[in-house]
Amino acid sequence: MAGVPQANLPFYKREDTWAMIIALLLTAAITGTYLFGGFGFFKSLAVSIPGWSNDFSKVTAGLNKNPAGIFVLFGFFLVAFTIGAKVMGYRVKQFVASFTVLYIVSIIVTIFGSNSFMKTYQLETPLLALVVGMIVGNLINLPGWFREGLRTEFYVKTGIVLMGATLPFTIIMKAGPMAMLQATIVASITFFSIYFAATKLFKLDPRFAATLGAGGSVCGVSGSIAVGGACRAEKEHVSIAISLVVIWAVIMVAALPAAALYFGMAPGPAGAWIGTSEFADAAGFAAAEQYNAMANLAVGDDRAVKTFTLMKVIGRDMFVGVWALLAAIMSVTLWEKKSIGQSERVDYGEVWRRFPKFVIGFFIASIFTTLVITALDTKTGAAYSKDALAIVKNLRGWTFTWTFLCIGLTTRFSALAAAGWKPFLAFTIGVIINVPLGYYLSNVVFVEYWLGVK
Amino acid sequence: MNALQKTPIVTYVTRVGLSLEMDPDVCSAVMTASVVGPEMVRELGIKMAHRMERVAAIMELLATKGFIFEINKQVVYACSNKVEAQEIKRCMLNAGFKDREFQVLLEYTRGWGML
Repeated sequence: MAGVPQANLPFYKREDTWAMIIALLLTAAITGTYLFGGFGFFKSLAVSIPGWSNDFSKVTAGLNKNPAGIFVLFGFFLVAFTIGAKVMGYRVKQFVASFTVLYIVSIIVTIFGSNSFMKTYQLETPLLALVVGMIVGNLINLPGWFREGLRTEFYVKTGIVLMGATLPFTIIMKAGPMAMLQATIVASITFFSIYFAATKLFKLDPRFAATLGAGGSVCGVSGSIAVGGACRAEKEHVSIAISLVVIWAVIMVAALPAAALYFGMAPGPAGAWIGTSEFADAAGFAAAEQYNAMANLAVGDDRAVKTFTLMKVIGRDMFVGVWALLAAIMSVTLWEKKSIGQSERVDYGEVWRRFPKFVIGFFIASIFTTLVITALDTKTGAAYSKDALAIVKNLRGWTFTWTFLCIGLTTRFSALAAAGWKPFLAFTIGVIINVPLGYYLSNVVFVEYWLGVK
Repeated sequence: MNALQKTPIVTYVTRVGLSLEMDPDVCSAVMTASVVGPEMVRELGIKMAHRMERVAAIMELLATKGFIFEINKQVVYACSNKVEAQEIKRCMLNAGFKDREFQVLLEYTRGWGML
């Protein structure tokens, strides 16, 4: 049967599993070679494009510092992703061809995104990748084989697990509960705003309303899919909810970083705001990276991306199963007007089944590198953070660039245009509430916590 | 429209779970109401046979709608990616089956590459 859900696949055929395997082995290999020898190979993976204006020789000079890097980086990820792709049942030849094109485009986009002229128009690499992808994807008749390598979720999950390696577990323990609290406040208020606007103002079906609410509050597309499935919303309604998530997520990639800079927000609260008010993981990382680039933060200053991750991944994504279970219970009782005793049974395994498993990889990566740093003496630990984890950060950056390109290439405006004004307005009411509330909590109520994340 | 644009935003699988085990409520009602002995076991057997007959009848109905069957850990799953969850639930209720006799599960999968 076509379209078997990820949760129903054996674990070794899931994107989450392969994202974890690739990112965790990579982190372990970088650590192992750094400590015991052979680090040169992984060092050569870290390809950086220097900033430039009119003089392209700066780019070539930068690349010449590590001439094989551009090929080694490509070869490494091509092999790693292709092994996963083969086991997961993707069409391997098409995947290889598609990833090759994606990689070449990502290099070109990064070169242009590093140009000072593009920066003056705020077209830093994340936004530029998104825009280029959208233009190409919507105007050019792309061949069928190209779709095989456009795996937004696969790349972003790999990037998130790598993100875990660069986020000390102590920070997760310290800021995690605050992220959960802030996310719960915003998600609950936004969910019920959209839900009541949809059902009371626009008289939409409650299942449809819950699916819209989950998309606008819990965790974007994944939220709509999980809650839509749990409450048995119609396929058409889930498609509309996803379309609205994508439309608003793409708008927010540009709007939130610009607004955060306009309001003079510090990186920590800015990332927390993006994590609270952006609708999808991949788009949120684009927004956080875009903020980083626009704010001209020092190389390695990751505060916005860290607080974004804490808010989005720990505060919001982890709880999608709980929301799905609540929706399932409401669906068979409240909306069908039946008591718990009369109603269809609800599967409580929903909470675990819908839990985003890549988050486990995120935690493992964080615990692993934190333990390594703790085990080393202060000087070696600091050097490990500076040298080895800098490689992980660089590679994470590349996985996100492929993600941003994929978002653009797979965003089809023609498919998004048919949402209808009632669901659009209900969702927009949620956005109007969510964005200022996220700003207020991130930059006023909990600002000290977010400023404290280094 | 190119190959990428033809892909649906989501696909779905509707699954109807039919447990081959006795409903725990029915089971405990028999066991608490009866004296422990052969008659209690016979009564449980009758209830069990009734349950299996109901499952078979639901399966016959689902088969007419194009569902295919698989079994996993004492549960028969009827699967379809053509019939939506609420539609098949209405259909089963209209045919006289009760909510407690089945469990409808719906799984959506995002179209490849979707955000």
